[in-house]
Amino acid sequence: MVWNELLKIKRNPTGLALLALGFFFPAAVFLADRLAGDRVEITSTIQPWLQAPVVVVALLGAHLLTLEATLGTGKWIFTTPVTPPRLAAAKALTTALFALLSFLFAVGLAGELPPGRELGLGSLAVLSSLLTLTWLSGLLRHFAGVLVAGMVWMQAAPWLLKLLPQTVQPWAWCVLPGLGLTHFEDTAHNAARILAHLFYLLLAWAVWRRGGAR
Amino acid sequence: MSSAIAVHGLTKSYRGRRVLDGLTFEVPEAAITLYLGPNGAGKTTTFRLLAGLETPDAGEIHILEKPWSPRVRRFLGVTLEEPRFYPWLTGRENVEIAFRYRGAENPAKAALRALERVGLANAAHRRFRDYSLGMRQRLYLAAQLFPGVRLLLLDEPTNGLDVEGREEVWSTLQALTCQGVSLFVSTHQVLEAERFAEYLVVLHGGRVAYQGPYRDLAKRRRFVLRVDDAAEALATLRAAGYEALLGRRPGELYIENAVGQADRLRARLAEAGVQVLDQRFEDLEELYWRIKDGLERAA
Repeated sequence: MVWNELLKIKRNPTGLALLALGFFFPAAVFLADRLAGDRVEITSTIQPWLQAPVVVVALLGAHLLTLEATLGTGKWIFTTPVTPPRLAAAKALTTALFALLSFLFAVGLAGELPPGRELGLGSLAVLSSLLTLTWLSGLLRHFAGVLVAGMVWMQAAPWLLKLLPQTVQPWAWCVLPGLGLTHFEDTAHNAARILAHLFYLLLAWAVWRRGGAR
Repeated sequence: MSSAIAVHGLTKSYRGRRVLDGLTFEVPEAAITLYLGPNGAGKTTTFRLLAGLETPDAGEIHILEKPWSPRVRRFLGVTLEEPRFYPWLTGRENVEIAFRYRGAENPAKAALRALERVGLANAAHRRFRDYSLGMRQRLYLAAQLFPGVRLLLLDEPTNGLDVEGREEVWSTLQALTCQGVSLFVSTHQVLEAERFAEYLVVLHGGRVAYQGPYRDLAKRRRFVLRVDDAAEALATLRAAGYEALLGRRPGELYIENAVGQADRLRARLAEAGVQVLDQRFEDLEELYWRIKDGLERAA
């Protein structure tokens, strides 16, 4: 199944461009900062080694997960023994594989591994994003739609959270999907976070089972 | 006759509207069977039931002599819509993906073999986006020819193709029957399919209006004359004892039991001063209309 997804990226102009963007994103941020000169500073809120896998998940993941809705193999997939959740799982796994490769690439460029705790939290954050993207793609079935919805949500959610009572905010922060990487540093609400992610896993399965590859 | 498909009492309704009403027919193995019927007659519903994409309200389906179960899918190939593949991949890679989903042991080799069967071996390494419409349709067939597939259900396989493309597809289908594959084909292109049809199932109002070998139906074809004065010709032929009636198109007459009598008919009409402009036998489309009209009159 993963091999099929790899084959779908082969010679795929959009897929390869998105993949390249993910791999070279840290270099692009660095170069942009250099080119901007002294008066402007361009930085990322996340560490360079985490930028590449996050961008790979956001772009390549959304592309792969919405590929059949736009290009479609619809009834053809229906008549094969592949269930849509299995297909989505293969796509998520392929994305995770490329996210790992992009991390190794970024680490190779930087020349050193990040500290163990940071690495662990970063990996969890990437997996969390991938899970969110899987059910969101299953719902929207449209590449641009997934990207726009993701961006809008990430910008709007922190503002919306501030409207909640202060005691509720940390709980809401850890159970809401796709709210960036920093919320994994808060270990006090781990149980709620794990439960929320189990729910997202169930949601992803349900969304793909119901909508499936049309 | 061993049957590729045997359907008995198949019934299916959508929101209270009965689309199939006790459908019963059999389709022979290793032959091209045409499934004809007007739009909305239930052809696509039949395909979806045969493919297992939906379940019937009542009735039985046997595929290759086995009662329908998910296991029969490994003998089945289905095309239900226009072909869609990954344009940047080659024909072989696209078929390989399809075969890997179905669990082929050596998908690359099996894909190449399938492409050979539809006459696309030479184009196996060309990208899908460079394929002509006819080639795309043949690639769609190849993607269904998983090792072990013995029955193809094809819904409008020549839809949207030009004359060359249609010829390519029909010739490929005919070659597949020689390899032992059974084909159940729905089409609106009745005239082009006529040359290739071996068996017919005609659907009307959710029921089978006709089923049988094409040659049996062909024997019932009437002689068709186009004349300059249809009324005079009709009177002349009836007076001479022929069973004649006016055709669907202006100036046309249908004459029953006229095989081998063309010269005599022309002579009779010439004596009456009627000029024959054209002569032929009924085509499959006209036979189809006759069956349909007969049913509607009976109803």
